[in-house]
Amino acid sequence: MRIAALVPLLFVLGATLSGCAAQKHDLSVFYAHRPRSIVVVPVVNESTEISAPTVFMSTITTPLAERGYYVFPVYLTNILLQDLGLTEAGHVHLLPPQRFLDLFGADAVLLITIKDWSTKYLVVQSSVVVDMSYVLKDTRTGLVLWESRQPIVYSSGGGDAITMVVSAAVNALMTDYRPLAQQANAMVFLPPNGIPAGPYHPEFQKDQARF
Amino acid sequence: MRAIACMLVALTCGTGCAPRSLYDWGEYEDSLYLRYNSSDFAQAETAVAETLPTTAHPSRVPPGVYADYGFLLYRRGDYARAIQFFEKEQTTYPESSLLMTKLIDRVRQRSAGKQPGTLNTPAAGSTK
Repeated sequence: MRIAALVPLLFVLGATLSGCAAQKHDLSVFYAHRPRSIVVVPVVNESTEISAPTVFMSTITTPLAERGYYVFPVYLTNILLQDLGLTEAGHVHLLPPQRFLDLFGADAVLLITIKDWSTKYLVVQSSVVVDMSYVLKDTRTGLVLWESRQPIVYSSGGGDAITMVVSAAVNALMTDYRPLAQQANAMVFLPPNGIPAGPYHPEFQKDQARF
Repeated sequence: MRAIACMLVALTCGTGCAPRSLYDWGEYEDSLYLRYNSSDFAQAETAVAETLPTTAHPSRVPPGVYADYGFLLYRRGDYARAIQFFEKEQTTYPESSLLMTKLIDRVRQRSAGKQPGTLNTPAAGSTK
């Protein structure tokens, strides 16, 4: 489905897109531990949209692996945790990080919380928001290697009458949050606020100046 | 006219400039989306399977995809091929070694008729 890859670009062209990056962070702990492999565990959902975690989880692997890390298969990870009786993401996030070394052999665990995932309908326009917090922890020491926050806001209807009518009709049916989640994940791991390139990336150990 | 030009730029980028992509992702994300959001495992398996042959070199198969496919095979009872794909994951990505060893042991136990109480999957052969 190549069209799926196009959608974020169309958003950029046709909509007001705002992405805020988190404050400058200190990567000294990251450089001291340099994970090769990352396990992404089920996300905690603080929004009221129950489908948010499953839509989100289908968009996290590609951008993280493209940074050069081994990313454990997310669906399989989910099933294995369920086997252990860990069906609640909140409980998984509270486990000692060392557990993910024992269970998966992962160097680091990525804990993601969905802070907002909603559509706000206003009189002449609507806005769609996805907003996540990301925390990467070392599984040997439990130390936080990196953290960030990535909101994406898409506002429609700011333009001419025809655009307004069209976007209102689309948004009234059902919001497709997937392109926004893809956009957030495509941005959050990149310099200057993202994570350094991993061992499978050509810039591995060469990109320190970009952060 | 200008809008058309913009669209063309977007189209070119969508296909061509996904810049310096490390891997060939094929339909992998769609496969995940199908499983997570509509529990459509048959279509999900097809989507992952289509990701594999299009990759000319093993290093272009993204992390986790061999293992993921192995799991889908396991899920419908094809234990022998499941093990093969777990082994491919292990060979391609040594980071997965511990987990793949565990999974291969579990599948071997299960195919030997023992019930190790693992991988909470529906009985083999069930569709969806």
